[in-house]
Amino acid sequence: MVRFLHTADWQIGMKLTGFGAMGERIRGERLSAAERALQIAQENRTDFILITGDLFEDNSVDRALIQKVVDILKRAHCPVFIIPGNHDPLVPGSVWEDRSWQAAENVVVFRENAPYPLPGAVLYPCPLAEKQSAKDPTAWIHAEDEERIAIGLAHGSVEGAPIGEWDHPIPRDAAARSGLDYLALGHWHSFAVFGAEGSAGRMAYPGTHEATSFGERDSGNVSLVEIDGRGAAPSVTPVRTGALSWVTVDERISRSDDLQSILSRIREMENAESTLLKLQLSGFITPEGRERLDDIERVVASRFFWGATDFGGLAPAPEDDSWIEELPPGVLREVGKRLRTASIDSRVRTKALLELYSLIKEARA
Amino acid sequence: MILHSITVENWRCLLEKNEIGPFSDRVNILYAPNATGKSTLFEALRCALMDNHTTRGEDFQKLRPWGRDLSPRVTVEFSVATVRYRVRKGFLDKPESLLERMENGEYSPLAEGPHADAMTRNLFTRDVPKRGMSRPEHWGILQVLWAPQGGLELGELSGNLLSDIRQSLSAQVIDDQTRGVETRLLDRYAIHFTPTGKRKDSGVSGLIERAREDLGASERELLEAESVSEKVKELSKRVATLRNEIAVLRSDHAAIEAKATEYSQLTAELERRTSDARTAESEYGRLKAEIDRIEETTQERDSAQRRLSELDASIPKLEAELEDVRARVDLATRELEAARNERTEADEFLRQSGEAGRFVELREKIHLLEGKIRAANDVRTLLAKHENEKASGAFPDLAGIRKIRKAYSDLEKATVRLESSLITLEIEPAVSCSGRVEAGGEKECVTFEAGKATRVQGAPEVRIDVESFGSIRAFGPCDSAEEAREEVAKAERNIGKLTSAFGKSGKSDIEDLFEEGASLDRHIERERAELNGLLGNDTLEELVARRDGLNRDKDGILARFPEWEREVPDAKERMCDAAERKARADERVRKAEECREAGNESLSAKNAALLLVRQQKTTEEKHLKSALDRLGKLEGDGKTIEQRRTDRTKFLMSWDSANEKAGEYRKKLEEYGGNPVKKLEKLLDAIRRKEEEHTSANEDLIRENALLDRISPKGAYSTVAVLEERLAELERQHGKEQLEAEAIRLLYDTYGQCRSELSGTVTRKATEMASGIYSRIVGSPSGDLILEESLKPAGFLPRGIKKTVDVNSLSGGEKEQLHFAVRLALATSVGNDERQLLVLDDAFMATDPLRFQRILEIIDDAAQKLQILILTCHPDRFMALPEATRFDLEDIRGRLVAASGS
Repeated sequence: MVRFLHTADWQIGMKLTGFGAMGERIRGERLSAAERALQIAQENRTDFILITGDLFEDNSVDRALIQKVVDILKRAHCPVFIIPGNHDPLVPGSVWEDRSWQAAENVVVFRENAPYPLPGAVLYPCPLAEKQSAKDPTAWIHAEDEERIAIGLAHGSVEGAPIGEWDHPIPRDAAARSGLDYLALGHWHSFAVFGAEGSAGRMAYPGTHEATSFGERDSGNVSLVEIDGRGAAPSVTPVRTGALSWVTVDERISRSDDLQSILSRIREMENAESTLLKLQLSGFITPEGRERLDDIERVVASRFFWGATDFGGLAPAPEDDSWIEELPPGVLREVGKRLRTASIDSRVRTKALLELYSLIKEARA
Repeated sequence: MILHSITVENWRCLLEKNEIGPFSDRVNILYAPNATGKSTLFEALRCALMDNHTTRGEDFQKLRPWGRDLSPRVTVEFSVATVRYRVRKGFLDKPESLLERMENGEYSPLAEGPHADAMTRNLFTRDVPKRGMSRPEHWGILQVLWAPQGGLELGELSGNLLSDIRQSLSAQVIDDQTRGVETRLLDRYAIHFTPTGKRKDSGVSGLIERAREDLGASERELLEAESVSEKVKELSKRVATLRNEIAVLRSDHAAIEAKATEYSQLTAELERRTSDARTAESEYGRLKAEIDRIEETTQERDSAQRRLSELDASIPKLEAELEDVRARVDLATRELEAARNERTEADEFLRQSGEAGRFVELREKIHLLEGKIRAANDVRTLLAKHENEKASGAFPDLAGIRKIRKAYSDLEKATVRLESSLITLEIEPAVSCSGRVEAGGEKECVTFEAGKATRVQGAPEVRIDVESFGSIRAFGPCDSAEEAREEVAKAERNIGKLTSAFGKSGKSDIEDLFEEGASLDRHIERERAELNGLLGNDTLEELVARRDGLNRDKDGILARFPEWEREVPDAKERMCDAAERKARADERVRKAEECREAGNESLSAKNAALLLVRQQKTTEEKHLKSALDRLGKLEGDGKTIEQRRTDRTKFLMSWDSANEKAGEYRKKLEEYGGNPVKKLEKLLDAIRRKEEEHTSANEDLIRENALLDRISPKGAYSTVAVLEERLAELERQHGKEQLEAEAIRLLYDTYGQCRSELSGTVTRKATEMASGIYSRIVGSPSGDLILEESLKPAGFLPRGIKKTVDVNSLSGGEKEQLHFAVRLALATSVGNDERQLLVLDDAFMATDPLRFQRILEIIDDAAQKLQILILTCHPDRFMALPEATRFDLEDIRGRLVAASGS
């Protein structure tokens, strides 16, 4: 029997455009999640750890990051086997040529398609040497006659899986066809198990160990895999490693109560300190709702690990005369009327109206 | 603004340091006689507050004291918004500018140089003078507050002043809350925009630009790293490929090396045999050629000798033939000469026959001409006679006779009319008696014979006094006889006139004359035609001259052939004979010429043939000599031809033998199926090239690897990631600022529009205020002032009258009062809560004392809100302002002069 931890797509050094100064912290969280993954491996006494590609976001990441990753992997209690993925392919000048790897004796970076024997098992690594390819990286594997547990390591898109970057195609029956007991995959950031129809799942994506963007499903895990023997069905268990939650709230406002309800919701949201919140509101806004927006903005900015609001889709309802009625009669009311019908981008129009209310409020104060 | 003091030095007529002040913050009267510097002080005040100290235009040159090269200086102490300032400026040669602010009871410098100019000016106006001295349009609110000398009239408000006044006036029609909003809106607007409406740069754009540049550089580094990596990958592959290719080439090289050695040995043997064969072939060829040349030369010699013999034999035969031909040519030449003589004679006979023909022709022509000349002379004589007759007589022509006939016709008609208009009295008495015609005819005595009718005709009556009988009177129509008589006379005159030339006046005579003239004309015409027919285009003289010419020709011929005088030759017969003789002679000449030509040709041919044979003989002699010379040389070694042929056979056999051996070696070499040595050489060359390529690729690989080692550690991707994140954050911030700025601009513009639409209210308010002031001046509600949109006075609507009075229609006094009212209204409007300085320089000169007193009261009241400075040369007029602070400029200057003198 073998027990191992399967992880992939750490994307160390990834770009976090749109998060401002918080990007550096989110990148840091990916290293913390890596340490948690190794901790899980140790706790579960795994025989080895498989990292199936895209350990790094790019081959040109800061060399200090490579050193940090090597330092983490060196602390693993067991051997670590790595294949380069499409983000960090095995090319001249790649991260894999950095000297820091020489000090990590427990780490093996596969550089060619050749079986690698282990006690009781054989690894069939498929390192990638190019960013894009239409070739099946597992095509070379023939483990049908192998007596030991045969485990493949590959990085690519399983046919039929909803993966954005469609390259390095891997047939859905690659494991069965190649005689593998388990084909450890990387590339897709969500946990998923695939198997030939009517048989055990022998191919799996563990997903990224820490979510990389909003909208990712079942990410932030590693997989614990157990295989009792040659031909036995593998047991694949996802274990949580991600610390951050990426939450998107996209609501359409139709009543003034809606804003209060959203405010309550975000005030009560759990684990806010480790949640990245993207709040997008659209629909109609009322004069009293205007102040709720300020409250919402304040809560999002102060309570969450990171938060951003987008109220660009909000505008006063055309038939809502309360915007005008609540303005002081005279010049200011006339200004309000004209702003409401100004032929200009609705975002500018709405903002100008809100500014008018804000100025009136300040003047009253 | 409140003015505290002003100090002026070296300024036009103010030479000394003139310090005026401290001014009261209510009414101040500065008085002095004309030309003592009141307006100069006002000018210095404006320059201190408005002008750039560095300006050196013509306006400023005029500021120098008259006739002195001194630099004008001014110092003004004033307050704006309760802050006290002091500005000091020097112009022209000593330019300086210093703005100080009162802080803790002392003036502290605030700005100097151009900054001081700008800061001072900005306290009053947003309009900057471009060149030269500032003009009223640059003064901002001071345009309204400061009336220059005698210039109370308010012109077009310029620059930003109008909008400032509107803002100020409309501010008075909005509530405090709106005003509060406006203040804050202006503050917000000022965050994003400059006073001229340009977008302020918050600095984010610059940061974005820099971030983009940094990002571009890092992206280039990243691309370079990828490019170099790709190159290294390619080069690695290339190096490995080349290495494999070299190994394969070396293996091939080892395999064919032994074969190449054997091949080389066989090739060497083949070459030796081939060389032997070539030597034998060469000797064989040389001997063969030598023998061939000897044989050819021998043949050549024999042939030349043979041809010489033949030529020698042919020369005498050719010479005999030549002599024979020459004799025949002489004979032909003589025959030709005889034929030519005969032809000459025939030509002469032919010419004489021609002359005979000509002689006969001349005779005939002369005869004809003489006949024609005679006939022409006859006709011409007759014609001359008829023409003389016609010319000597007077004959009416056709037109003339027509006129005469008409005149006679007119006479007859008139006579008939006269006859019909006359009263005819016919008396046929039974007894003879006498009487006297008293009327109707000549008054004459008439005897009436018995039984004989006597007629008396007349008109309008005929009266005859018949003796012993009485008077017989006949009358009738009496109105046409005179006219008829006149017509008769007229017709007679006309006839006389028309016929006077002919010496006859009778109708038949005239007709006869006409007939006679016509007959002569017909003769003349016929004779002329006849003469023309005879002469044709010639004249008679020409015919005579022609005949004489022909006679001369004929006489010339007769001189040569006098016998023709006696007997006219038969020209036709002679001409036929001459033609026959000529044809015969020509034929003989032709034949003789042909014969001689043939002889000449034959002679030339024989001569040429002889010459050719002689030339051939010379040539053959040369050939013979050449052949003999060459043969001597070829056989110089003394060998016989047989000996030479034996040697040739020997070399031929050696050649065959060597060729056979070479063929054997060639066959062996062919068995190798190509040249292994060449293959070996090609392989070595390919190996060398591949090794060079490998070395080059390897060097490139090392170099690119070194470059990659340098680039990779830079971690360009991480730098790009951080820069992209920063750029995105900056762009987000910029977008937010942009949205905010656009919203504020929209709000600002919309608010501004709404405010400006209050202008109607504003104008009304200003109008009401000015009308109120003017009514006070007039002493009763006089009517309403009318202001334009630009707040300029447009007219006056008197009370109770519906028609507007144009400002220019008002009297001088009314006009200045009206403009003062508007100025004061606007001045009190724009000040908000701050006191402003109103300057009146020599104002109200056209105002009557009563209204002037009312104006003083208004000024006194206005001093509650305004500081007022009155510059005047009539201080007595302002005695009604007892509270006013007075400054006697003359006195001040006098004291200064005294002080400087002491």
